[in-house]
Amino acid sequence: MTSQRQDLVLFSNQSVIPSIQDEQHRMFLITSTGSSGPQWLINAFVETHSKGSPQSLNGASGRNTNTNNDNHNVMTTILSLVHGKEHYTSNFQKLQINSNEYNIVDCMTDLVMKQIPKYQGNKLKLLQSIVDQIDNNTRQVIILDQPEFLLSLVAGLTADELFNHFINLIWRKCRLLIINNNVDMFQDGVINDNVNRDFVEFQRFVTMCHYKAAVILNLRPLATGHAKDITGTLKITRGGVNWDDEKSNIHVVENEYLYLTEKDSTRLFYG
Amino acid sequence: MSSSIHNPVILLKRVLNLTESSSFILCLDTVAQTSSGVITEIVHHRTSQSNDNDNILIYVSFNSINKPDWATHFVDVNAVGGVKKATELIQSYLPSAKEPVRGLKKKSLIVIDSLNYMARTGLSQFIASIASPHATIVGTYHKDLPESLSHQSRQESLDNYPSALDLLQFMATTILHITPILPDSIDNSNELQDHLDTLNVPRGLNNHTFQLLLINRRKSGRSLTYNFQINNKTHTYDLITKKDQMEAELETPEMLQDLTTFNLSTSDKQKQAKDQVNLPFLEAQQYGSSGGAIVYEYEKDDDYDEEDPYEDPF
Amino acid sequence: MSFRKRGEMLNGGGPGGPGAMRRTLPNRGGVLPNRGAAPGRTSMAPPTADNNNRIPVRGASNSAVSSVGLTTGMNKLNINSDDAMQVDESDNNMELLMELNHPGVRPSTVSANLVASTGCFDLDKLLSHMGLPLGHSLLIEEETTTDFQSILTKLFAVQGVVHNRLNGTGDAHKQGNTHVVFISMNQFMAKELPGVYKGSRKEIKKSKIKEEENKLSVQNLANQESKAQPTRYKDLKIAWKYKYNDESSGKKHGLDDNNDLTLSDDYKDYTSQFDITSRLLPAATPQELSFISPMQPVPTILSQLETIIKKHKDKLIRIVVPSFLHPAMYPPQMFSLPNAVGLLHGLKSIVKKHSNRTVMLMTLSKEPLTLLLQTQIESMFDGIVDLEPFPQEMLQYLEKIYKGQPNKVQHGLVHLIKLPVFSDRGEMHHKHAEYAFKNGKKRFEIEEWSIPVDDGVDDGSDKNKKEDSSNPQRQEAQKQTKQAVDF
Repeated sequence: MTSQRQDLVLFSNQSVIPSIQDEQHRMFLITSTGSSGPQWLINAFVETHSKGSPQSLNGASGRNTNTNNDNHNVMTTILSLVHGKEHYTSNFQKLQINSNEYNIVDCMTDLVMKQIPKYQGNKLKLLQSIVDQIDNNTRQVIILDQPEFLLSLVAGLTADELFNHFINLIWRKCRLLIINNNVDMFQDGVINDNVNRDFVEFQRFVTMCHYKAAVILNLRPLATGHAKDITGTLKITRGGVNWDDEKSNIHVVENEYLYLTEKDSTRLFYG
Repeated sequence: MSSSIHNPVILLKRVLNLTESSSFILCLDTVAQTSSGVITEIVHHRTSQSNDNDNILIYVSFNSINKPDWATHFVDVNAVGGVKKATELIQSYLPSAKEPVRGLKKKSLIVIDSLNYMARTGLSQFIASIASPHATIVGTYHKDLPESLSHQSRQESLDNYPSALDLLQFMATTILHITPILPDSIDNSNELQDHLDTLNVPRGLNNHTFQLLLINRRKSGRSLTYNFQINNKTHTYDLITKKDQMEAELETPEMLQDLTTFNLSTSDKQKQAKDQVNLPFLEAQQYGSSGGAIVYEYEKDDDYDEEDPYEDPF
Repeated sequence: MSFRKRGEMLNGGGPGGPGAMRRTLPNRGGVLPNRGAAPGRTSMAPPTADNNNRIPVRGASNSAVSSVGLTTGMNKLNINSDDAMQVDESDNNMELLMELNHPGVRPSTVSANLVASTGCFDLDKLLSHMGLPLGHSLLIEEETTTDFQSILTKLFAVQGVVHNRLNGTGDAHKQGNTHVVFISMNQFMAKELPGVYKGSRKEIKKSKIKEEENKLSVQNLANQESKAQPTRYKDLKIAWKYKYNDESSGKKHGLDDNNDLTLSDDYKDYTSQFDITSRLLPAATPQELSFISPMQPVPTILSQLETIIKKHKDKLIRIVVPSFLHPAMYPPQMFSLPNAVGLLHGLKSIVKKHSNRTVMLMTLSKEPLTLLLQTQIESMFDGIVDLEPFPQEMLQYLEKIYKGQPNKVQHGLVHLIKLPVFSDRGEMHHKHAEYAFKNGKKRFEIEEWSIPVDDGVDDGSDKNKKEDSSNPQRQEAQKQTKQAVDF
């Protein structure tokens, strides 16, 4: 196999997160499945935001890193519904990311036992209390790990409410919002018979994300099943929103990588 | 006037220019190709033609927090506190309906980012309340975003009320169906749909060239339907006729390229030569009435044995 | 001291983090140089760099606590210190578990985690860690209305009870080392737990005679054992990996001889073998096993569980949720997303909070669930194994082929969907129909699956079958596929 290692590139200027000084709020969407988890990609984004490029990908090859100095003292905030704080700190420590460069809002630990009962059915107040835990810093990048779980956990919450009273409020607090959404439930296609109210809300939510995102990062396991040398594919496509930045004149580069995640490291290559 | 209508491209330009008297333009799109291309096209016409300050471009957002550069007014429905407040705001930005239509050079533009976020029971009322003789409403409806079923439970059964899509299509004076030009990797729209249903978005969508199906309802009651290919960058529109579509479906040499490492395509010369070849059994068919007779000619190496009763086929 | 501990907690507490193994190392300089070369070790850095890493990383984690507190104001400071205290507490427990030489805990063979046995040797093996990593959860799914899952549930639970009884004599029930928590209405479960397999009838007789002979020295033996254990653990904590590799072949041969599970001496009590036709005697007591009714509001269930975990501090807690959302045992409102997913989210939160001494196993029949509910449940688990029992025709076919060898007949396929620790990292471990299971009196076996070929008498393969079930399996599988190709 002559497959060469590839660098992760999302934009035509070879960047992963372009540094743009405008007032727009952008969104990336990661769609992942249970057997092609996004942790390495989240790590790559955090690393890019704090160091300028995803150095740990492909085993820190001697790559010229055009460190974005303007990104210093800029935070990455992770809000997670699926993992506790320790999960991320241990990940970021391995990447040697300074702990003052990220902030973790843990919505896993005690959410059901303490936080939800505290608001006794007032779902909007509950959402607000979570939003309030995020600092207002419009230069930061915020990563939401599986926010769709709120649709399950908060009784009667609709996708529209989740967007209007949660996602949009968080989005306003940053220049780039990265949402990871698990799409296992859609892998059998759309279920038309027996239209399920809950399912429609999940479908609405993830479709809305597709419309709002500028970049869609699609993680899928290899269709042929388990393989030793390939974990899955990462497909980068344009989202519903044009990344129209006439000044810097960059655009999204659509691409499809194969990747291998093994022993805490991930390598990308073209198929 | 009537002559120009016969040229579909001019009709489309008039629609996008907002010079055609259409008060509600409905854009129907999917994730595969969103309406942003059409909206920017309309805005492009608007801003390139006139630089006067009486341009009123209102962006009504139900679910976006970004104010587009071109918008003169940005109404974030959720931030201002609901549809009712938003309606009042929009009305306040527009010139009063009592003002004579001719006094203004240009119609105002109201862009609604998406009509999917309203309960369908409120839709017609909302559209009616912001409609004005001075303004054209351009509303987008995402066809692939299912209607929420949660609104319904609280109210009486809406089983017999039309769906939001039907409702909007009924009210609209112009409908723009926006579809992508299928990328090479996708064979047909069914395959595309399968990919989208599993949220496995293929590459090559949301391009700056796309297809547009225009349905324009004339005042006479006539409805005109045309298919275009739009290029958003060069601002060129090409009419796609049925013939074009038929041709596109026929096999062309280009379709065979890059499928394998074998050369499957034929050059024109080869094609001509191929057509001239006499196929072996054409002659036999010309005998017509003789049916299944066997034509046998002796050749010099043939060994004919008179003794053998089975040897002679005749 | 407490300062150092906090650093360590943040350093190694996380799942998949530089785990417990590493943290105890500096005290044993003598063993250190060998670490890098330990086979099967999943290290992210060369051994020398590893040593240097420790200091800056620890420093970073300390500043994490302080800086977060500083930047985010009083509100969060409180929460943080709360968290820190809780984890600190469990960190102590962690050390205790290690120092107590918990017989049901051993290091993972493939990662830096400590693992606990599921009570089923082959399932432990399938999870590649030789067990379920502490602080992780495993979901056993079943496709049809069959009930193979209940066997695994019982094995998982009874293994905990057996470990609990290992440590000593009369006081065992008070002291103990393990506590099993059932989240179930079915209190009979406690009485249905299988007993330890004592060998064939002949062997039982023999052992009884021996027991009589040795009665006087039992006390001595126990003492010797308890003395011997600590040194063994300290010395072999690193070297076990060599040990494992050295012994794995021998162990498997041992397996072949009498089809018994003779584990290496190091972890001889780690996995017991059970006879599912027998009953555990004496039956499990409330000191060993608690029940929480799922017919309560979710927050109540969770806080009851937390109380039990706190009450049994210093013990390994094995949480069992048998037949989750079984329509006969769960009321309809439990199927709503906020209740069903909420309960799991809460359970995951608790397991992670006490990640140094809890493991959880849940079984689930997929049949009555919507795809939405199923996928939401699945994404709350660290590991997922799916059982797909064969339909009757397939069983008949297999019975025909394995004529005269009814114990060769597999009962269904095993699909591996998620592996603890690895799937979290994003590795792909979805293996569809690569394994098969069969349930026997004394063992729930999981083996590599290959469709057997119906070609009448084949002496060669028959011999193979008699010889062994695990080692030549691969050869056998290859052989069979070869036959298939030839055919």
